Amino acid sequence: MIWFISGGARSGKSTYAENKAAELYEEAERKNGAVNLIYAATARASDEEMAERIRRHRAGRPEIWQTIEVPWDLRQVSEAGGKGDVLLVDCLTVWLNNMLFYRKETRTSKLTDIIGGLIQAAKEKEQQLLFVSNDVNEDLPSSDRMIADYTYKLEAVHRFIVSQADRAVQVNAGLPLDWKGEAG
Amino acid sequence: MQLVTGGAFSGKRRIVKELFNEGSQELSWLSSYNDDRLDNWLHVWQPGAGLVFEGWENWLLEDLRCGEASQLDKLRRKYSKLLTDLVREEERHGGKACLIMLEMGKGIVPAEAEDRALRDLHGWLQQDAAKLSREVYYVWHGLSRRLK
Repeated sequence: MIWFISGGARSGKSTYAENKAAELYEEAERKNGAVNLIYAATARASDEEMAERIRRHRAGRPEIWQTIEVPWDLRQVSEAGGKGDVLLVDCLTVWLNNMLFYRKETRTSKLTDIIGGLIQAAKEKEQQLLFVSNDVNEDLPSSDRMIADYTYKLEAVHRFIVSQADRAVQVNAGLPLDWKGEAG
Repeated sequence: MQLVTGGAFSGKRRIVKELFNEGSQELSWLSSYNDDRLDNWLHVWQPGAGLVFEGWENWLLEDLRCGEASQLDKLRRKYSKLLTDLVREEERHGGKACLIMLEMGKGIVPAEAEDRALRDLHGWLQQDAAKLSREVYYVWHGLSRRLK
């Protein structure tokens, strides 16, 4: 099952996604026995402040979570888990930033191919895959070409994932609004 | 009249094409992105076709730059009248009108006065359009939800 969860800044999207992933993990454990709950962080510890933020986030998650760092090759997320595992990717805006500015990968088709590869692999292993992202396209359009291009590419990635997802949820003030699939 | 609103690159055009193709209606387009002038709308509207407007923010910005910020209310009335004329013409013409509008009100208040004026005017226009429209859709990452 593929999930897409997005919302504005501080909308509660990550908390919602973490709770949902933990719920799916408990459900999978009850049904299938031991599975893993994997948190795939896209942020890189690029400096000491970032490293400290990452440490704080990691310490804040209950022990049932395993954390992996996947700044660009998202296909590794599925590879890190086994059959029926629950995988949470948080978040796509940071991943896109890494791809564009560190990996210099600017081809939209290549970006969606990487995501498509992860989705395909997760489906084959019957994993539950949840993507978290941020709605950044409802502001005044930017006259800065780089920002406009970033928004275009992020939206292309969002539309692609939503087209593949079983569930798409928009989080407003911590509350889920279902756009695709049933509430669950 | 229909209103289709949503963020930048959210897939609004595709949703409009889907809405119209269900009725298998031909479409005339008036787009500021192709440098079409707004006051040309009656001329581009083919008999029996639907008429789609897109890029309102550019038309508004052009008007704002011709006048002064103190004329915001006047501009709002001008656009409101255009919408009323459009609804009237729609009844006579037989084809549906569809307004694509960009959601641009969910960021922080812009630092530039012109940006603030544009955001205000565009938000009011969107509200006026929603009042006059029979159907209103909101588009989010390629999916749509009917609001009215």
